[in-house]
Order: sequence, then C-alpha cells, then structure tokens
Amino acid sequence: MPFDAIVAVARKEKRLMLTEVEAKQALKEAGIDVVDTRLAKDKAEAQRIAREIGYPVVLKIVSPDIIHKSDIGGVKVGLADEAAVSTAFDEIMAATKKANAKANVHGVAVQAMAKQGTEVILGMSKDPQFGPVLMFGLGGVLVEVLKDVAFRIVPLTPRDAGQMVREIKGYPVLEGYRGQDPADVARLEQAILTLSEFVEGHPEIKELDMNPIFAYKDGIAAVDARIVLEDEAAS
Amino acid sequence: MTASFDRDVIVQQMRRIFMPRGVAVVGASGTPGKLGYAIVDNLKNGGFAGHVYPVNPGADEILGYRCYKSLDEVPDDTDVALISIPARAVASVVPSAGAKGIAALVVISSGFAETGERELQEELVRLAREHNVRVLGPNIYGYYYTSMDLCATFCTPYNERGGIALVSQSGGVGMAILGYSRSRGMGVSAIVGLGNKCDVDEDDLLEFFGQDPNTEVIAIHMEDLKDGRAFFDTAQRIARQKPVVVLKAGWTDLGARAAASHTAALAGEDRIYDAAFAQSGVIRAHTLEELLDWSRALQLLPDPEGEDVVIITGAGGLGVLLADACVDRGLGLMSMPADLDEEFKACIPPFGASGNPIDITGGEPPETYRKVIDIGLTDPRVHSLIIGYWHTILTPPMVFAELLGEAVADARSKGIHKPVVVALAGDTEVETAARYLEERGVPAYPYAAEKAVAALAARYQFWRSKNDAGISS
Repeated sequence: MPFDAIVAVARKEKRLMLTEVEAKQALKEAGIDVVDTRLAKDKAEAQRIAREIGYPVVLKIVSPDIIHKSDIGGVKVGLADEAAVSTAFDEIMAATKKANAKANVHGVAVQAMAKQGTEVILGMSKDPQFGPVLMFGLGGVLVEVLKDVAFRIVPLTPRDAGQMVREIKGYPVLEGYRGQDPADVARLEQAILTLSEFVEGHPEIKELDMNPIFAYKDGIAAVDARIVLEDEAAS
Repeated sequence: MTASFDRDVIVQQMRRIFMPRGVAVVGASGTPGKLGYAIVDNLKNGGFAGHVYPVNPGADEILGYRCYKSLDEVPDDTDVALISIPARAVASVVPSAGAKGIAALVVISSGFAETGERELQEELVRLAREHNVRVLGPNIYGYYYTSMDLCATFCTPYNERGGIALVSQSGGVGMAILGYSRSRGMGVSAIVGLGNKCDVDEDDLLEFFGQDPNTEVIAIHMEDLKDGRAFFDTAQRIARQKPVVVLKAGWTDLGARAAASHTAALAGEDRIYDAAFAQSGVIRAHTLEELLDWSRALQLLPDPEGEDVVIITGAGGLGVLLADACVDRGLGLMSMPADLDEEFKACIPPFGASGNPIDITGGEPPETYRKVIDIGLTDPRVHSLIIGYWHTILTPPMVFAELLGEAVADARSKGIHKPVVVALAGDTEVETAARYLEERGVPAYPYAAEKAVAALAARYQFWRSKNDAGISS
C-alpha cells in the first residue's frame, strides 16, 4: 500500500498514530530495511503468516490505543511453533483487554525474530525554527539515559549523514569495540539519507522513530517503528 | 515576518543601506545631548562623505547641514532614513520614504515589541512592505560601515577599518564589541544593531557580508532567530566560504519536551541550534569573549595545511596546559618524527624536553626561542605553532615579541604562511607584547593558555568545514 493510502486509512479512522505494521510498510516502501512484519486479524492468520515467515516469530498487539506494547504484556517473542503462536495470541488478547477493554484491536503483528545486532535509533521530529530534523544515536536504554544522539536538519547531504554517525560518543561501539562485529555504517548512512528524503517528501509526518534498528556487520533492520501524523488541518 | 526577497534584491537593498549616497535623519536635533543631535554629529565627525539631510520641521540648519521640514522634501539621492522620533510617529514616515524610493528605515527609536507594543511594530512592518521599504531595528543603536566612514548611530564614532563585520541583537553587546575592538586595535568592516529585527535580520546581513569585499569574518550575537530555516539556508551557502561565528544566547537548555517519540523528546532547542550551526559550517562561540577572540583570530590566522600542531614553550607547566587544551578542542598534536626531534634537541638544553610539547626551559636567551621557532616555521611537516611564552629576565616580553614578529615576517617573506598563536605568562608587560604581536598578525593572549588554543581551533574548524574534512568514508 503506498504511503498516501496508509495515511488515508488513518485519517478515515481519525488516527494520528500509524500502527507498527503500517509504519514499517511505509518505511519499507521508502527503501529502508525493516524486519518482515505483517498484520494477522485472527489466530489462524497469525499461524499461517508465521509459517510463511518461518519460525521463530514475534507477536505484538496492533492497536492504535496501545502505545507501550510490552508494558502491558502485548509482545511475545521467541515463538517456535504453531502451538506457541496460539498460546501467545490468546495471552496477548487477554492482556490487551485487561489493559484497555475498549481498545480498538486491529489484530497482531507477526514478525520474524530478528537476530540481535547493535541497537541504534533513528528518528525525525519537527523543530519550530528549522523544520524537520533527524536524530541518530545508540538505541535501547542508552538513548534515554545518556542522550548520546546527534541531530541534523533535513535535507541531509551524504557529508551530513557521515558526520552525524561519527558525532556520537558511542561511535567506537559501531566500529566494533573489543572484537564485536562492526556495524554496517554505510547502510546506516544510507538509511539516514533515505529517511531524510522520505520525510522531506511527506510533510504530513509529524514524528517518526525507528527504535531499535539492529545494525549488523552486513545490513541493518528496523525492528520497531512509529509514525505520528500531523493534524489534518496542519498538513 | 519572513523576508521573501531574491538574493540579488537583498544584496541591492543592503548595499544601499551600507553604501548610501544620502542619509536622512528624521528627528535630527540641534541641541547637544539629544539622540537626534548625536546621530548628525557622528555622521559629520565620523567623516561620512555622502550627503546628510537632517529632518526637523522646527530648524533651518543643524551642525552646518541644511535642515528639511519633512522626509518628502529631502533630495532624491537619499538611500537611508535614520529614525529617531517617538515610536508612535514612526509608521507615519513610511509612505514618504516609499515615495522617495528610500531603501530602508533604520529605526533607532524604542517603544515597540520590546515594551509590549507589538501592534505598533506590526503596523510598521505592514506599511514598510506595502511601500517597499526595508526596516532595520527598531530599538537599536544604529550601524557602522567603516569603509564609507559611516557612523549612523548615537553612540561614539568608530572608524578603525578592518575585516570583521559584527552583528548584535542587543545594544549592550554592541557596545562591548566597540570597546573590545578599540582596545585590541581590531579593525571592523561593520557593526550593526538588529534590536527587535522586525524586518532585516541575520540572513539579510549574512547575504550582504558574504559578498562584501570589505568583510573577511562575520560575527553574530543572537538571542533568537525569527526564521531559523532562512538563516540555515543562507549560512549553508556562506559559512564555508567566509568564517561565520555565532554567539547564541540562551544555550542552557531547559530540558526535554513531552512528546510521543524519543526523537521529539530529545530534540531540545539548543541541540538543534548546535546541529544547524555544525551542518552549515557556522562556528559557535559560547561566550562574548570567545565570539570576539575567535573573530579576531579567524581574521589574522591563515588556513593551516594540515592537522599537525606543535607546541613550543618556555615553561613545562604551560606546555601541559596547552596540550590539554589541544585535546579538549580537537586539535591534533604532531607525533614528532625522529629527525625533526633531533633538530629541536640540538637547540635546547639537555634537561629540556623534546617531543611535543617542546620545552626549551626558562633559562634560555632569545636566540633559543628564535632557533626553535624557525625550525617549526620552516619544516613543512609542522602545520601550526602554539607558543607558550614565560616571562624571564633573559627573554623579557618585548624582546620575545620582537623576535617572534621578526621570525613570522621572515617566514612570510619566504612564502610560508602558518597559523601561529601565543599564550603569554608573565607580568603586565606581556599585555604590550600581546598587542605588538597582534599588530603583526599573530593572535596573542596574556595570562591564559587555553584561549590561544581555542582561537587556533576556531580556524581549524573553519578550515575543516571548508574542506569537508573529518569524514573517513
């Protein structure tokens, strides 16, 4: 589905927050590597998609009303077979109902279990003075505690993307600290430039996060993604 | 209000402000002590060679200039009108200015948005747009453009010509600039007050000074930007050609914002300014002293040819401080090649320290300084020199200053242009030595080690951003 169509659906449902499945689909179409994630409306569909993607898989609740999915028990990882998917599906639905009985539930996202890589965050927000800005940093808890992130104003040049990645204090981690695999910095820079172009072409996006992105020796994969739209009047 | 003029148009408008044929002074006065008197007096005694047209319905002549009853009557070669009348009357002048084809009103009067009179200011801007007149100010001290001997201000005249254009939002900062420039013998191309910047703002001035042959360095003090995007876009084009140093006040961030995404929560205002400056090649100062010191040094210092910096010092302790400051400011201390190390060693006492820093020790005569400095200047592997001088009986401050001045001049006559900065530790005579060196193009800082390093680092920052260095991929 092209981004315009995804936005149209959200507008129709009076949502500003895209679901994870929608956000990943949009980013994938923009050219950013995301972990294969598909929407299953019921248990049978979840099991079928899991077979297609290949076990193990992750299941996550897809609901515009649930923002912090793991906090409420809406995420189950490492599901190795059909039975595990079945149990996880029931548990997620029960947990969601408990957290918010009125939540509008689209279903569950079935996602390939990405192998662990170096966690980074890449996102966009809007500054009242400078317009859209991109942020890059080491992901996970580190981004919140150390705030080791770099910003650049959109649009970015390849030079900006290169400097942005190297500006963070944790850059040596990406270079492969103490025998760890180095991260694919070239792909990260490419993703930064792709995101710059994507948000420049879509002023209707208000905020965007990919957190985390796993960076591997070869390639990267956005594991989670969030897109918030501007109010219709503003875009 | 965002200016939406073409670049060429902006430059044309600014040229008429800075190089006017005739200047009208609305609110001119013949009474000493009044602002309207000081402005005419400064135009006259500053030596402005263009026409001065005082406007005051109650006078026939002011300071020897014929006085006009209204702006409608002034000759047609008037490019600028300086306005020093009560705020409430300012807007009424705009239609006459438009009819005369005057490029800009320079509104010195206060009593606009800064005192809560927003509507008054908005009305001024609306009329100015309607009549195709630009507005500098309101609420400013005026401006100077030294190559025209133009002192369009109620403050003191200032005519020392040089390559630095200084722009300040606040009058107090503008006056600090004036005093610093005078005390350091620092020539300026222009000093401009922006005040409420209801119309003309930083990006207009960047556009003008960027192409102004009299300006080599642009220094800006700002409290905020009206249009960050326009500043960013203009700075992107200019700051890698000509150094731009910005002191952005209010850099202590007041914390994160509430937002749905991490990115938005972490995007504090100051971090975004940092990014915008870094990305456009603007050098950010964090204190007024840095703004002025770095502008001065950027004007004096040539570009280096590489990253290898060598420290020469007469005092070991100073050498350590300088080395620390280099690391702190991202300057690369050269790892000394063996043959060059031997060359240095041959000049200094056995208990001195070779390597980098080179410690020639405190008991040395002027010749030792000279020999070591000459090696540093001539060896092409050394890209920049930081010299830490220590006041001794054997080599007093002025003796040192003269030998260094001569060494640098000799090198220049051989076509060697390397950045050299000096930290001077000693009694008050080092102030005279510093002044002497600066007059010869060598930035020198009494009673401080770190300032010399920071000044050199500013030149490196400009040089790197010009070359897009620092990217390995």
